[in-house]
Amino acid sequence: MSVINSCYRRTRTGGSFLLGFTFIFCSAMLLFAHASVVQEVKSVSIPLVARLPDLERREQALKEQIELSQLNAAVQVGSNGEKLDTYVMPRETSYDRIVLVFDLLRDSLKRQKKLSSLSEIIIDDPVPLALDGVHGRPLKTELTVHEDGLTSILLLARISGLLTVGDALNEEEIAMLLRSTEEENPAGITSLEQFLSSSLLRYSRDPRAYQDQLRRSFTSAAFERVLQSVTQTSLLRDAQRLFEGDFGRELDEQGLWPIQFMTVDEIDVLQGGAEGWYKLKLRLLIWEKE
Amino acid sequence: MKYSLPSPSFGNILKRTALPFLIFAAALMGLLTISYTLLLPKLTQVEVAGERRSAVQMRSHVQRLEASILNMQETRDQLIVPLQEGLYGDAKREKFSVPNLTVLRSQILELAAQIVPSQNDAVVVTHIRFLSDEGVLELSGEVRHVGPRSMTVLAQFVDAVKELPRVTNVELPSFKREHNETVGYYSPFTFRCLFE
Repeated sequence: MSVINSCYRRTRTGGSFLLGFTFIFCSAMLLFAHASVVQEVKSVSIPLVARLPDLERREQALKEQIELSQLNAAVQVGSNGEKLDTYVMPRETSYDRIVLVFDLLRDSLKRQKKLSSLSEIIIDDPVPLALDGVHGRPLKTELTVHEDGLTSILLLARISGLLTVGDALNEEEIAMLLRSTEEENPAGITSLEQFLSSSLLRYSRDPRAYQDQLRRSFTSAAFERVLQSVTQTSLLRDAQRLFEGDFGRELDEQGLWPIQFMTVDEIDVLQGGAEGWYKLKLRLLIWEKE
Repeated sequence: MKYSLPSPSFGNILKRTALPFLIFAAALMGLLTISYTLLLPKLTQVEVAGERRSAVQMRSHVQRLEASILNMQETRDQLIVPLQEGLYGDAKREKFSVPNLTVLRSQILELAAQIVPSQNDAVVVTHIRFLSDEGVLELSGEVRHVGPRSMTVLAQFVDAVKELPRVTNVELPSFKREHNETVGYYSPFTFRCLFE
């Protein structure tokens, strides 16, 4: 009997210790879980809470901007889309418009003594392009131009086909402007929208007027810095250089804006007889929709 | 009179401490469980915009917010600059993927003028040809007025052109030195630069 009692007591003692150690192990796990939660709060929640006000402010600003932009968008897209189909990338090139643009540039450069001759303009049958849905009609001509005239011709090829101020800016430049509006005055998005959808030609002829209109909605020095950086380093500056004289005025007066989309296919610049003068062989591709 | 207690055996010690140890462990675990399930969430949740959120909920809330911002940004951008997508957007990207020839040409002429610091007409580029579909710019000209060093200067010029942004490769010219009465030693060159 005493042997049975002794066995029972030993088992009870052993069981108590076993269960006790199991509880201790579970307690250690729970302590570890406590530490993990505290660590998570420190490393996740606190930084996230710090970011939240900025994120919520951006969300609110964007909501407001979308509501305001939706009002103008339908009208803008309609009118610019029509111009795109009719003038920028038509199904049939309007040869008289193209030739007239080159005529006006030739006259303007001749008046400035930056061009001495422009040969005949030859427009060939279309060739396929890398993009689907379009083909390119080669335009070939030869010119004798001064350094500045050469720059104007190359700028014309680069700027042709661009319709609005927004078209002359790259994604990064547009993002800089948009971010500034969010930070300073989300409601000013309509002014920015109007600025970006302004005709590139009209802007280039009087950039100050368009910029001042935008400045009425954004008065901070930070926005001014962004605006200056965007307008002075982008294609807007080149457009201003090309269109600020009588070439831009005549394009506007004769309704030749927008110019059909063109890209440089081949260009051959040979040093001319006099210093600063060049013989230029130019082959452009005029884009047409198929 | 001296009394001495018999020293307890190890078995006895274990027997007497087993129950207190079990009670202590159970109480500790119970308290920690209560703390973990009831107390800790209350202390570690953060109240944002009237709602209490744990770290995990906070993370998913911020992720949702960021996704919503990106989405709205895209919508807003499409409304502000609506013609960035589609055929016209692709055409513009294609056009601007070609290097700006005005900038490129002036960079090359500047390099040519600076390659020999004391003599800005050492490298004369007489002919520039750009082939858009091949992404190739062909340069021709002469290195002169530098005496027998003309080939070395040409090599320096080629290296400098190779370093221009967006130039991926330069097909080396044949390096030769010629001589005539008027300009002395000179090295004519023609080479092609490939663009990305």
